[in-house]
Amino acid sequence: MSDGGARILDRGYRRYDGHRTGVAGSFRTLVVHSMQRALGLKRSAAQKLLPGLAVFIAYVPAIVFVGLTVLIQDTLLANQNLVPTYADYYSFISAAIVVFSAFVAPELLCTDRRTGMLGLYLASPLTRNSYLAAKATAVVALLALVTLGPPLLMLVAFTIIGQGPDGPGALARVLGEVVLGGVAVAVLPASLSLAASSTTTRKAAASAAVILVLLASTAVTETLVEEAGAPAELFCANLLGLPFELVRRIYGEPSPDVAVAGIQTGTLIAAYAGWTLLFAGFTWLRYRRLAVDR
Amino acid sequence: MTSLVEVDEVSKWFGELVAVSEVSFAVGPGVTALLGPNGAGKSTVLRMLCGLTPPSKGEVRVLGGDPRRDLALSANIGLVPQQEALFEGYSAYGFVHLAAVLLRVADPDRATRAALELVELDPDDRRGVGTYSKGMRQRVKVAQALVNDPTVVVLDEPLTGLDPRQRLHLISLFQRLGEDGRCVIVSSHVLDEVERFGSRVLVMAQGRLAAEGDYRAIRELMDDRPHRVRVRCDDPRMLAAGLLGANGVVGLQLVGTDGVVIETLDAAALRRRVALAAQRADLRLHEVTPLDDDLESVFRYLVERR
Repeated sequence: MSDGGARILDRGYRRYDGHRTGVAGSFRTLVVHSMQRALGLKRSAAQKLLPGLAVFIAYVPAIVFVGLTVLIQDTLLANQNLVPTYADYYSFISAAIVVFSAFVAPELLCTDRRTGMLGLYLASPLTRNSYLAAKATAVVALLALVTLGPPLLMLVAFTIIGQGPDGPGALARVLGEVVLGGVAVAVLPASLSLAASSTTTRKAAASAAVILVLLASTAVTETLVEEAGAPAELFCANLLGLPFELVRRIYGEPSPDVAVAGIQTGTLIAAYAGWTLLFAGFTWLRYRRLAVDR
Repeated sequence: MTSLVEVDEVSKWFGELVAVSEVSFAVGPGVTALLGPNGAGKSTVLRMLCGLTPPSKGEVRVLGGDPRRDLALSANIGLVPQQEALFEGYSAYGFVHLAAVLLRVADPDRATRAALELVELDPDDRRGVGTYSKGMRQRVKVAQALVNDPTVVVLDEPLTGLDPRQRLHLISLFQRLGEDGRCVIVSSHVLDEVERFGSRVLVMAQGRLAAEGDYRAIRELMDDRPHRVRVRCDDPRMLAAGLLGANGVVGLQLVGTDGVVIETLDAAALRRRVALAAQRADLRLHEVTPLDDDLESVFRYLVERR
């Protein structure tokens, strides 16, 4: 606004008379800003370090494998199994998945409660449910960056260099498997980390809890099944291994563990869905009962 | 307008306190008043212009250079700080002379005498400035700011403690400096005095720049604020009836026995309509006075509701 060089830049508080985007706008804004915060965008270099490192760890193997495929003859690679399958790829990046799972949700949920931002969000068109849905969307999208991005990168790169699926039909099938697999690996850890983050305002405590549950469930179930002769179905309590095994089923690849290979796919899906719903329900319940007093 | 001072997206914070937030403006030759309530960030902006504190974000350029890095710029900037910043044991001459020497003025003695005479102080007075009244100390500060004949003069509350005659003298001095092509930036609380400096203002509120430019033009831009004009005449009821329904008139209020306050969105058109309505009703107009077109009203509108 100007008149002969004069400008009014700030008239103080004004009632907003413009277009209101409502719940959808608030939801979209919260998802975008949550993702920016978790990735350290528009924040200091120190805040970018951990998310940057996790993303780097997740993508490096994919880039290396694509590079190897380009540089070395494909027959040699096939003979020596130098390049893993899409399903096997997750074993290379499990550390990045654990770190990201433990970091993202605490950053997004604990901070809002500790700083009182939650109260401000709930003063907007968002309700507790839509707030949680936006945060869950952001967490899953961020985890998908690690779980979906690298295999997708490999698929695209292999297709471009002529080492991908044969024909559009096969490409569409593999693309579907990649997306489904990436989402499957993201959703369960996301729900676990949301549940852990709903119990405390301290990010470090929530992160530690997520790592502890993921690693402890793996160690305990593997010990019981492999060493103590417990039923193979106990593998369904392995919260880190369960999504990876489900991904193998999606790609139709055999499990390296014979006992696990014997578990019905339906049982695995039911266990996966059960854990996810349990953690999501726990988070919902915590937020429903949460007193927002500032 | 040639910009001598440019402030581009400047923010300054002290820990968690944001003193100045994303302020941008450019100032050329002449007197510009920097206005704002206490704590608005005026002094912080002035300190950044003089290179006394760096911006946390953004860029400050004075005469094309960075006042923080370009040491040669200090010879072209004069500052009257808000704080009492005098060496008590020095005479006025000694203090201003010291400033002249530190700023490497070619002839410190002559420059010192000239600067002290500008503010009507005696260069031969050997009393220490500690014995001076507040107004005299203020004038010593102004003299030391002008001793190097700076192109940019930054004055933070320069009229504090001055008697009315000295205020008029310094206001006229600052106007002269501006007319000579210098960039004079004055911060002050006293709005009726600021009005005498000139009409160009920068208004700050809560660390942000609320408005800039000629305050009358700023008032014209406030299209959500009807202009209030008081008219005194023989029969205000007749006049009000004549103006009722006229384009741009949004309110009429009878005041006393001979007055009517008219609220209008178009002050210029109203003047014509009032004359026409008075002529038609055969009324005699005694007074037509705008009630909220002065700097104080503009300032109040800009800083209220925060």
